[in-house]
Amino acid sequence: MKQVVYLLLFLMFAVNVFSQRELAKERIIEKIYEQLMETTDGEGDFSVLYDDLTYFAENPINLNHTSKDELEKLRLLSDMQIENLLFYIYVNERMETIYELQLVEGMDVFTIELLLPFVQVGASDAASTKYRFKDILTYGKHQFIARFDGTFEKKQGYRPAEENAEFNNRYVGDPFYTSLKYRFQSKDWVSLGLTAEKDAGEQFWGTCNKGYDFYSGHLQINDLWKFKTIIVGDFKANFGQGLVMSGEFLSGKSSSVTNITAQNNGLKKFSSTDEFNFFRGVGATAQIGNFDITAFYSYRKMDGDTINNTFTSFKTDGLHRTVKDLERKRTVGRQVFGFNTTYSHPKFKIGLTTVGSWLDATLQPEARPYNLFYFQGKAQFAASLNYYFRLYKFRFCGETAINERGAVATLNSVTYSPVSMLNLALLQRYYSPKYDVFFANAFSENSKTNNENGVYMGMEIEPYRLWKISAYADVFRFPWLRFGTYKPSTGWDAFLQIDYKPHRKVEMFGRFRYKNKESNLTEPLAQTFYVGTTNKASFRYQIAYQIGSIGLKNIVEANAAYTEKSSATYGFLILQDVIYQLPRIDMTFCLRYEFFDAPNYDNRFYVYERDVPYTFSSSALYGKGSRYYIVYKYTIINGLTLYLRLAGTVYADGRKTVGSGLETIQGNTKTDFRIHLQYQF
Amino acid sequence: MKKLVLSLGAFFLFLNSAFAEITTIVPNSYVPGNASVSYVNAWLPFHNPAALAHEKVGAIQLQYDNRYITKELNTALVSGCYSTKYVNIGASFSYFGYSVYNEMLTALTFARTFGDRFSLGIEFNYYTVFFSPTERYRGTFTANIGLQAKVIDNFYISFAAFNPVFSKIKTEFLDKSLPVVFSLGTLYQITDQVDWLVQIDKEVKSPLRWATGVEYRPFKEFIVNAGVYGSNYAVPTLGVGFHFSGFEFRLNTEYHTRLGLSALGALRYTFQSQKRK
Repeated sequence: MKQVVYLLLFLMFAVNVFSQRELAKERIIEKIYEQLMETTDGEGDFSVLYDDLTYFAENPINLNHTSKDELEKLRLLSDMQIENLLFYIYVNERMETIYELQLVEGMDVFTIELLLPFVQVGASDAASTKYRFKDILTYGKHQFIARFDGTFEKKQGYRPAEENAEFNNRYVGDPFYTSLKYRFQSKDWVSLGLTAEKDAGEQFWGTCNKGYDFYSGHLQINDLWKFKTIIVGDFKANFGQGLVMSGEFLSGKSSSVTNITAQNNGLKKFSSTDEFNFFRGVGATAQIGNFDITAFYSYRKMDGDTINNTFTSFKTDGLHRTVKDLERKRTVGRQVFGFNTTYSHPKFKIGLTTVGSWLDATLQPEARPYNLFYFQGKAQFAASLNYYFRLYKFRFCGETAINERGAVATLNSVTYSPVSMLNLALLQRYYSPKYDVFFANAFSENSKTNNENGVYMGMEIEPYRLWKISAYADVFRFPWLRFGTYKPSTGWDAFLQIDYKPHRKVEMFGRFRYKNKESNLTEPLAQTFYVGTTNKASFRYQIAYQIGSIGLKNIVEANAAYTEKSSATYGFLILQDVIYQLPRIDMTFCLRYEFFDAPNYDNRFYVYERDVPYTFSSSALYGKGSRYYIVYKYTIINGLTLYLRLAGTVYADGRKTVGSGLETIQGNTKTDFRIHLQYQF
Repeated sequence: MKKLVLSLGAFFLFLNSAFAEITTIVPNSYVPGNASVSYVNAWLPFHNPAALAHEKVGAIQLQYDNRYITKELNTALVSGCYSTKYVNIGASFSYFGYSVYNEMLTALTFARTFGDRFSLGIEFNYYTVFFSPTERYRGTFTANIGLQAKVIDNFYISFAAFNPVFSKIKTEFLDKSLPVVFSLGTLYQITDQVDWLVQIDKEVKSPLRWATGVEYRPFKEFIVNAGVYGSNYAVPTLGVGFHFSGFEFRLNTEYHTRLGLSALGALRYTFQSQKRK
């Protein structure tokens, strides 16, 4: 009887909790996720970060035998904290216990708690990283992942053609997403991966397509002879501060206000289902003395609307659901050659990066004033010099780049910690409007790394133990027009967060954010627009606490958005998370229930959502309504894990449809399900 | 008749938006400021079902509520609860309105604690509304779920969601949605005698409502409370309570600057038993 009551209640209230490691992984991603979503409007691929965190959760970093490169992969510690940690270990020769982390300068209780699941203290003379072929098989782990997604409601694109006259189109495939992944990982030495994916609406087998729509694969070997990395297949590359080359969306403004420099440089395997943002070819990094030399070559067929061997823009969403989409599929060939050499010294680092890209069709953006300086043509080149050095308690870091048009982009930052309780950061950037480079992705307010200059200042202070105050201010200017802002414009952004941890199992923060930015505005009934300031102020209070094996979280967020000519509209969000892990068996439930009231798009909310592994899909919430999700995880047998996710949004603002175009759903409800099966041995 | 039905519908819709609260469906409570979601001293039917988990033995309660000294705006409530080894069970019934228009809410509630710091509750409701002699009674099922968590000593955070399933009643003339309410609140037990409650409620279509109140128990036999809640208007509340050998009588009043005075009286008897969970 007791068990039945337990089971009934738990199933009714669906809760969850992850292990400490799962939770820490989620929280690291969450820290950078929401602000990034706002900047990129829902785009972002966290698979590399998730991969690294998963790897380190299973193979914790031995702090007595680690390196800057390895610690950077966590994206959790600032440059300063990494330097201080390595310095502490160097001075004391080794750490005796993990509790010594508290003695490291600049290491606060919040960071330590996130760090703990990924680090350990072992022997300082740990085994050499040299390995033999036999070791690869001995330590190898295989993983198979199958995923199946769908939406319960029928979308317009799946209705018969005669009902789609308005759209003159319909989806050619079935309404389900499916993907298969295989991975082989042997410690940090060898990684092999294959991915096949079909998006909802794409045809699996028929007249338009045969098989999966997207295939990806990679083989990465690390630490082989002089080579730090060798990659064949699909990969990403990050160099310097991202002015020339960065495949990840991870540097920028976030609640880690002094962690502003790009980390984790080099070539990285690509195993995500993002169909745009990766290279396909070969690459290698060789270590010769203090030099790291990287070279890679990539050739891919990209999507674009090609007419007479010219196209206006790349199609980046990877969706091939309609006949029109299929006509644009893989129409533009792109070759990329990249080279980087970095000289590392204990006190400084300097690197040179060059990248050349050749298209087999001419990129010719539609003639618009805002894209006057966008790249046009077939060939693009960029080169940069990046540096890093320490001077007393200052750390300097930066990169300066130039492209084939002679346009310059430069980013320079300094971080300073006068006392252990205070960290300061200052970053300056200037990106010429003519600096439009395909793979640039550096610190910026814009989603593109061009046409911007600005100054960022960040501060982190621990006035008392268990308290942390983080703040930043960023002023920026766009010297040329932008999409949606048809004159040179300015803006500023301020952020203040106060974290408090009154108890080992309770932590909370209050966060205030204000942004002032210029954009096109229209007056009611007016036919023309003008450029004016838009303002958004938001406040969030979040508390997370643990009671036994039950984790709970609440968020209350309110915002006000207004422009020069319009009065403020107010948005409000309230949220409850309950997380429960059943004792003894590996079964977890996670439930979220939230209400949102965002009368305008400017009042929209971004809230990180728990999902199945390697999936990070979250869209902006606006309108009035409620949203829920349930994530269920069950380890059926050792190694075989099933994840189920059900998520729904019910709008209560009187709307008769959800979505637009072929994605339109009749009614006020959208309900998605996801099944993820993972087998690891 | 159609006009009458539409007028009544419009009137109650007005009431819902004017109060910006939980609507007439959910009876008021004697908790200061109506900040009931974190109230742990007694189970209040149709509020947070998780509070039922704190009932040690069993109780019955009668409650009568009049809003704005208007005879048509009365709510009567009767409820009872019983504590078992595995789960606490409650049953309740409320009646609002008069002969031409009335609403009834019947509920069966289950709740239990998990450890000494966490409780969950679920309430299964059947809502009935009498629209008109032609329409007669229409009804629908809905639910109310809630939790109360003792985060640290003397401090609780609680959550409740009424009608998360978006139940509604459709008739030929009216499409009546039941309110969908998200409540989040805290209780700070400042001393053994003084509790401070804070709460926010969001009905999915209505503005946010906030509430706060303090309950003071200077003697075992006497309770006094004061609070305020509001959305567009701030509504102060004031109440007293008397407690004698298992019987508790509560009287609560509130004053709306536009609509006037409301009063609520409740009588509760808690069974005296040696049985303890």
